[in-house]
Amino acid sequence: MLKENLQKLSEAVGVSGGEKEIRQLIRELVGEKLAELTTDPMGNLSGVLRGTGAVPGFRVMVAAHMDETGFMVSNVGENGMISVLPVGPLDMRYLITARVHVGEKKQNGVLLWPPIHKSNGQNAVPGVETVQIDVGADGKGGVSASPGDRVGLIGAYAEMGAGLVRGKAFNGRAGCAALIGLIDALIAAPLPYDVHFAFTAQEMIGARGARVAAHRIDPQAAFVLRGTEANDLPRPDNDDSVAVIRLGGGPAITINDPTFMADRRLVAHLREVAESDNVPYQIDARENGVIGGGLVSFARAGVPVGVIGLPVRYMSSPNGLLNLSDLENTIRLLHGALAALRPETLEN
Amino acid sequence: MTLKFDLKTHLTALSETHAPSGYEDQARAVVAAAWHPLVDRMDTGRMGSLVGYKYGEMPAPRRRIMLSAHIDEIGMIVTKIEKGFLKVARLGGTDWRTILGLPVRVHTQSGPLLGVVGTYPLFDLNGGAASTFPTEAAIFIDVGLPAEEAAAKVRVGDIVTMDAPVFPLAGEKLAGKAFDDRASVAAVTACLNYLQGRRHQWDVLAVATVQEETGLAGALNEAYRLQPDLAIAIDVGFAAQPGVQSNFQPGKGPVLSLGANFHPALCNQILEAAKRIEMTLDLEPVPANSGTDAWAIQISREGIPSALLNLIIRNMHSTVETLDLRDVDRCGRLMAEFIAGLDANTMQSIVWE
Repeated sequence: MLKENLQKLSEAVGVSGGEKEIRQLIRELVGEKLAELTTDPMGNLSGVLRGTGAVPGFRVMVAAHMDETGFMVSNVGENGMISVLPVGPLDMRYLITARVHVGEKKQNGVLLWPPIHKSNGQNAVPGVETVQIDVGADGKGGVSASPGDRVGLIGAYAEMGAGLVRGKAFNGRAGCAALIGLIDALIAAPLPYDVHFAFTAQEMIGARGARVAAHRIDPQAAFVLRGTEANDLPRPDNDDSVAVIRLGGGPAITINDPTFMADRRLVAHLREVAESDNVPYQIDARENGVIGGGLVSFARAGVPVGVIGLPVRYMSSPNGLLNLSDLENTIRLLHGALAALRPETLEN
Repeated sequence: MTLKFDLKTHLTALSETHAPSGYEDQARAVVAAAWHPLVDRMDTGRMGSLVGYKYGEMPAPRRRIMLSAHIDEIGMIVTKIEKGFLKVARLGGTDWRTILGLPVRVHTQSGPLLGVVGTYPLFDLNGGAASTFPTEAAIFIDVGLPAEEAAAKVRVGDIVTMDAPVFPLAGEKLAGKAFDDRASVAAVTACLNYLQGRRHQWDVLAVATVQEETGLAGALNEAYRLQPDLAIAIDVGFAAQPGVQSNFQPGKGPVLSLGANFHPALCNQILEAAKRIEMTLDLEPVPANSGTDAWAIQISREGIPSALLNLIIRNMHSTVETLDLRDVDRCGRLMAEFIAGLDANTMQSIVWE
């Protein structure tokens, strides 16, 4: 189930601010399992899994973002070529001849690139403003999209050897798959308190959805899942100058980003649970990009946040690599952390 | 006459086959299966080029025309296995800039492994390096296996190809890999298919050549062995797009090249054939080296009058080479019309003043 869900989640389109397709898919996958399934004014999808009520008044939020980076159509030329604006931080090195879905009708398109015979020696990575998308139309009339429509990247989802999968948008969707997996685990063994699930919008353009979801849910604590760049790549021997997060090394308990410190009590709690439950884990203190946890912590009068990173290699490309064992261990870690969490965990 | 076979299916099979220069076996098998019902016999040259012979009606010794399109594609070859990651060198003109983050297949002794072309994440690089493409030294193939397993499965010398299914665009346009030059091979197949319903005097030697991307070797060898009277090479030509000066776009028919590589009388007769079937045939001046099979064929033995037909594509040497299927069909139809017009006296008109 986890693998099937992950593939569907990875392949769905959901560029920040245009999360309709991915939101509909998650609604379908979650079904009746969550109560009060709601889409809020930001486009976040959230619902609650009721506990036994043995710890009354305690509310915890778990969140993962459903949006992904991509483009927005800025102009359609008379010749049918499409110009675009960036949505979220794009690594153009990975998008030179990308295949894309244009607009809600998902018209197939490709990014133009001058052949090597004509462009040899051009070593500067081109800016998004130079991108031209070709849908094969002979003129403007053959393009179904218009300015403002989103353009989603297409990956080549596949199961590889050694428990790895390849695909796009794992940055958010791996966390979505973990949360959906967690729902089943919690239904089998209910917690003494309510857990609010939030599949958030607009993470890639500033984690805006998560903040609004946190305000609405008003939790006493939150756990945020996200992809984190696995950089266990070939390096010279004895080169330990770069902090490394390994694919298959387990969930990465995250300490900070450039704008935010994860709650140290929740960091300690996650570590203790990982140790006692024998879940392999890593510590991520690399300040690797702004993460959704930051804005959750700013909601209302402040929310203690723990962040768990799912290691993904080539995360900003349409073909990231994810180790399914990391996904399973993330569910285990989060499950264990929720099961052991009590209001007292946050007192000191 | 209508095509009996489905050109799109044929081209898709050709494109999705994995066969870089020097390792053309899979492509040759696809071509052989397609040509089998369309020719009188086939053989394979010493270097691996496939020849289909479709005999004409004139009394022996019959004149022969060679149609040359190459079946190899650009690719990579494993040079080193470093902590489970594969370092590779290029086979032909692979453009490193276009393949980062794209899926590949590594062809090992025990079968293909799926992989991705990897490089270092931006946050591991300093600001300057992030704005330029990684150098060859910072690019590797990731098959996702632990180091020991990768080392056990992959050998230095294994080949790597892009894993890019054909991607349909609007109308009859298709994007995909290896349309350079298997789209031209498909045009030759279309020609053979059109000739099923026509009478022709000359023998047709349909040749799927090898190792074009690494130096025209297949065409050179087969022109020598077959000694044709005339030759037409079919290859891809540049479409106009940002960064490329060209007068051509996909969908407007094949383009005929003019220049020192081509016999003017032969070119004129191809233009006349186009007129007979009311087909537009634009012209592309090529002053010297055409960089195609025609360049090698022309100087084989005592010299072979040669011509070049181009299928116009965008994004050449990428996994989204983009063409219009109608051009492939038109090119096949034009060659069939030209071939049907060849007779016992044709060579007397392929002369200089």
